[in-house]
Amino acid sequence: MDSNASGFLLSPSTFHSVYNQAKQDDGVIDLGLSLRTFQPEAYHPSGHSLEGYGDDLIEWPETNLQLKNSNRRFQGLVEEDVDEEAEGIQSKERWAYVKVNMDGVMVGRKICILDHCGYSSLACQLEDMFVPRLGLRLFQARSEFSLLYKDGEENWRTVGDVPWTEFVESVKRLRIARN
Amino acid sequence: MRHVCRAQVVGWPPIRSYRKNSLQQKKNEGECAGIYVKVSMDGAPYLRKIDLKLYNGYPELLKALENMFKFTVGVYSEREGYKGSEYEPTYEDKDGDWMLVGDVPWEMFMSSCKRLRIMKGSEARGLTAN
Repeated sequence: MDSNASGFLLSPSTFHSVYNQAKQDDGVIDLGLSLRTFQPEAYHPSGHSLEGYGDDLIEWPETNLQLKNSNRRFQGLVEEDVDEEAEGIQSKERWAYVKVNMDGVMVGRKICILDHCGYSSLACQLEDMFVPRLGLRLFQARSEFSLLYKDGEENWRTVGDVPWTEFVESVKRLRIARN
Repeated sequence: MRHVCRAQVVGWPPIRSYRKNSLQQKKNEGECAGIYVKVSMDGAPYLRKIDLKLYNGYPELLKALENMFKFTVGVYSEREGYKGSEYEPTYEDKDGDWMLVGDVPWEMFMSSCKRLRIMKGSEARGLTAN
């Protein structure tokens, strides 16, 4: 894992994402769930292309992103993914869109888990998507919100309780719950 | 006792040949059947129906909805949803959940969209009784 570390964390200059801007609060992102990180991990919005990153881009989730952007592939997957779609995820192998609902908000969003490489980038996206609607910071110490996820066994769990890769494999949908 | 012949009467009720032909055509065109969904808009007096297969992607669909209901939808971004309009296009999926239009690839949307609703922003974004 260490040998990949330098390639894993992209330098800000090579990354156009807005999520790589240094946070004013010295880079600490507190989900209010005893989960902290001191460096925002790379967030790659699904709408952006991968051109220009070449071999420097980490192995994962690049492959999955390429498959995700291929609509032709998806058409071949529709039938076999019907059951999983009911859970909010299209085939785990190629797509990983999960529903995100927030208590009190009628309309949910959908995000692609494979766009992220860690909890902090996920938190960044969710803050951007949901916080402006409320006008207050979502993830901070003693936040009135908790981020939960539904796993493969239909249990609601706290986001951050398992390593990221394990989370990606098991997450079925997300919920921002009021405490 | 009169014996009534109950033999099946073939060709009743009479059906014109052009209807027979069109029924056969519909069976042949089963694979090209449209995906018709209802579209409602908050405040509009009645619903419409559209065929999602007529559109190649979100821009075309949204343009059609704008023309149909005479409103503007705003600019979509993953981060902010639809900005610049008080209306947000939403859809009900197969689970019965209401989701914002535009987050997933187009084909995925087509296969999961059951109906559309153009929601007034205050309801879509704000806090509603849950």
